[in-house]
Amino acid sequence: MKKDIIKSSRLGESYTRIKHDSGLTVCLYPMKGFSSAFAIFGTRYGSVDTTFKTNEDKDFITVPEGIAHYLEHKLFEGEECSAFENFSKTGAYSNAFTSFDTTAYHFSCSQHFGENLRTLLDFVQNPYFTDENVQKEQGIIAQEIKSYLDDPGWRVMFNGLGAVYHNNPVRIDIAGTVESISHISKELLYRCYNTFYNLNNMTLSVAGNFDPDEALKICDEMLKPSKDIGLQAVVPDEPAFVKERRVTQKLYCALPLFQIAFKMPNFSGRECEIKHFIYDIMLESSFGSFSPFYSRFYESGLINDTFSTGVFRGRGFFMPMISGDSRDPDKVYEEVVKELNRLKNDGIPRNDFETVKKTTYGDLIGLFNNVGSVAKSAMSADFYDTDLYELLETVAEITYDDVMKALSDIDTENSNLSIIEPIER
Amino acid sequence: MKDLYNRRAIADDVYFTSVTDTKFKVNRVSVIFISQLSENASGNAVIPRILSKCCESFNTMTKLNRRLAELYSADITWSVRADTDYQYCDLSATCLDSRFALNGEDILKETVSILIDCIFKPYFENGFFPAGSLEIEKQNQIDDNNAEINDKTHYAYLKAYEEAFRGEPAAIRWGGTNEQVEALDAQKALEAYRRLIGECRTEIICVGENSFDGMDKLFADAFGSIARKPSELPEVMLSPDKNEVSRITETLDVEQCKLVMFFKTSDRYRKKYPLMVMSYLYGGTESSKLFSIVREKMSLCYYCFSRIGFAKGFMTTECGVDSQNLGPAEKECLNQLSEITKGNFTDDELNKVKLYIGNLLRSVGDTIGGVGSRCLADIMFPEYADTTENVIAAVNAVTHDDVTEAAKSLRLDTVFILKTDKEADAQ
Repeated sequence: MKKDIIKSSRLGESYTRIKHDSGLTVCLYPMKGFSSAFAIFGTRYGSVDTTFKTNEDKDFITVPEGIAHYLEHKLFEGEECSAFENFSKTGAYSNAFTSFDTTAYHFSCSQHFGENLRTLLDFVQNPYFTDENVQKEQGIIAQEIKSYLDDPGWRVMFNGLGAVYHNNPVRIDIAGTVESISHISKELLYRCYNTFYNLNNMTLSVAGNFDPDEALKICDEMLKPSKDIGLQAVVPDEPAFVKERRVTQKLYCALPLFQIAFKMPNFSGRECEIKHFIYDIMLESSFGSFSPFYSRFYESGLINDTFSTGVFRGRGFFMPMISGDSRDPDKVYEEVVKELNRLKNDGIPRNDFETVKKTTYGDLIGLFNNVGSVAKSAMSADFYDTDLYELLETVAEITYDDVMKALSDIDTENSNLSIIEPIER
Repeated sequence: MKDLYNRRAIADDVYFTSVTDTKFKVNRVSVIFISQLSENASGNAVIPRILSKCCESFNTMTKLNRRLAELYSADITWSVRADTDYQYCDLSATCLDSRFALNGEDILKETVSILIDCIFKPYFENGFFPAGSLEIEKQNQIDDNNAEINDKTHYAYLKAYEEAFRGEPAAIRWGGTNEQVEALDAQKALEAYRRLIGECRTEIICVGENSFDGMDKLFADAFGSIARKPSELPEVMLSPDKNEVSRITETLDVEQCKLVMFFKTSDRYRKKYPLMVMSYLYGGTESSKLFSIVREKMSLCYYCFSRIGFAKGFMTTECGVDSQNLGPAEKECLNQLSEITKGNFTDDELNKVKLYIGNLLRSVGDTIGGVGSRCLADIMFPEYADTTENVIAAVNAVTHDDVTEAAKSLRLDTVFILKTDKEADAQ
C-alpha cells in the first residue's frame, strides 16, 4: 500500500492519497468543522466506452449505446434488497451519476459513516443482474430518455455534439436511445461490469466529517483485490472537421437557445486539465463579464445573463464552448467568430489575462468550501492523473503566451452552431 | 424567536444578522427586501437586475465587473423569488475570505462597500435609471417570465400552484406579469426603487468566516441616509378550501406528460413536523412509497415525489409519466396516500424517515447557502426557529398516529396535467 500526504501551503490543508493493495486509489480529505461526510466511489467508465477489450479478450467488443448508464441504474439493486434500502437504515442520502467518461456512486451522511461506507463498497462490488430485473428497467430508462427530449437545454447540447462528431460516441445521449437500450442484456451488463469495475480502474474519495483510520480499516476489510486486466477502451477514429456547421430544432422555450462549439484535438490526463484551464482563461478574457464583447452585446440586447463560456472535456473529447439564449443566435455566432479573429490579431489585453487568472484562483479556492465538491474534485483530479492542489499551482503557472497560443489554435471554421428555436404557442 | 442569532434592528424595519463560521473560505452578505406579492412584483423584480449591473462609483457594467474580478471573482448577484405570499428580492455580495488575498487586499470590506453603493448610490442619468439599462432589464424580465416553459417539471408545478392559490397573493409570479413589466417607465422604475429600499422589510444576513465587525454600522449609516416608511408585512394567508377539486389539462407537443396533484391542509402550523415526516414517508426519499412502489415496483413513472410548503399548508405529488400511465399513476399516488391515512406503514419505515430528515437538518450548516436560508426561514417563521438538535428532537417525537393525522388533514385541491398531443400515437 502506497500512501502520499498531499499538502497545500496556500490553503494550510492536506489530504491523503493511497494506492490500496486491492488496486483501488483512495483519497481521504477530513474537513474540520463540517457535520457531514461525502463519499464517492467512481470508475473511469462512461457513455463513450462502447468499444473495448481486456487481456482475456481476443477482439474488441462493441456494446449498445447507453449501457454504462443502464448499469448504474441496475447496480443499486441487490439480491436481497436495494442499496437505497440499506442507506435508508441510517438516514444517508445516496445517488449516482453517469457522464461521458465516468460513473460514480455516492452518499452523504452526518451519522453512521462507517455503516454507510460499508454499504457503498458492498453494493458497488456485488452486482446482481437477472433477466427479469434487467428487462424491468427498460421502461423507466425509456421514460428518462423521453424526458430529456423535451428539455431544450439538453437538446441544444446533444444536437451540437451530434453535429460536431462523426463517430465519437460522445455524440449520443448518455442514456442511449430507446432503441439501443432494447439490446441490453444481463450478459452484456456483466461483461461491462467485469471490465470497467475493476478496482485498478476506480477511485474512492471521501471528504468532510469522518475518521480516516476508520475509512481505511473498512477499505482493508471490504475491498476485493483486483488484478490489472489490461483494459483498452477505444474511441473510433474521428475526422478533424465538424460533421455539420449548423443544426436546429424546434421545442417549447421562451427564447432561442444556442451553443457554439469549436472542434479540437483531444488531450489526455494531466495535460487535459492544464489545457482546460488555459482555454477557460482564454474564453473568459475574450467573452467574460468585463470584456468589451460582453458589455457591448448585453447592452444591445443580443445576449443576456445566460451567456456563458466553458470547456467541454473528458476522455477523448475537448471543445471550447459558448452558450446562452438570444433572439439572434446566428448574429451571436458571427460576432463571436469576429471577436476571436480580432483578438488573434490584436492580442488579449495583458491586464485582462492577469485579472482572469485571479478569478480562476478565487473560483478554485471556493471549491474547498463544500464537502461534496471536495470529494468529487479529488476523484476527478485523480482520473486526470493529478491532484487537487496541483491544479491551484497549475493556474498560477499559466502564461500569457499559453493563452495566446490556445487562441491561435482555435479554427473558427471548424465550429458548430446548435440552435433550439421556440415553437409558437 | 429563540435567541439563535444575534439579530438586531439597525433602522426602521431593517435587521442585521451575522453568523460566523470559520470552516468557510468565502463570505456572503445578503440584503433581502421582503414584501407581500402584489401588483408591484414586476417593479420589485426589475430593480435588483439594474442595481447589480453598475453604480455611481463604477458607472458601467464593465467597470463594476472588472473590479469584482480583480477581487478574486467576487460577485454581486441578484435573485428574486416568490414564496408563500411574499416576494424576496435579494442583492448579495459573495467573496473569498481576505486571508486568501495574494496582495493583502481586504476583499470583504471592498466587496460590501460596492454592494452598498449599488443599492444606495445607483447610477442615474438626469435623476433616473439610464433608459437603455431599464429597457434591457425589462426585456430580460419578460424573457425570464416566458422561460418558465423551458423546464416542464417546474412549469407544471407553477401552473398547479397558481390554480391552487388563485385570488391570493401567493398566485402572483415572482416577476409579476409581462404587462406590468412593460408599463414600467422611467418614473415608475424610480418609484419602484424607492419603494424597495424605503418600504420593504429588510433583512441583512451575513454568513462566513469573517466576524463581520462594524458591518452593521455600514448598513445602518446607509439606511440612515434614506427616508424609511416601512409598509406592514401581513401574515401569510390561510388558503380557503375549494368546493370541488380543480382539474386543468394542458396539451403540448411534448414526449413526456406531467402530473401534479396539489393538496392543502388548513391546520398548517400545528402540524409542521408531522406533515414533514408524512411527506418524506410518502414521497421524499428513495425508500418512500412513491419512489419504491409507484416508480420502482409498478414502473408507472420516471420520477415521482412529493414536497411540502408548511407555511402555506400544502403538499404536492409530482410525476413524469407516459400518457397511457396518467390514469394509473394518479390512482396509485392517491392510493398510497390513502394507505398512510389508514396507518399502513411500519415503525421501521417511520424511523428511517426520521433519520433521513435528521441527516438533512445537520447538513444544512455545511454550506453558506444552507446557513443563510435557514437563518431567513427562522426569522420569517419564528414559531419554528430552534437549534438543529431541538428540531431533530421534535421530528423524532412525531408518532405513528401524528403521521396518520397529518395525512388525513390533506384535501386534494388541484390536479394539473401536462399532456402530450402524441397521445393518440402512444396508445
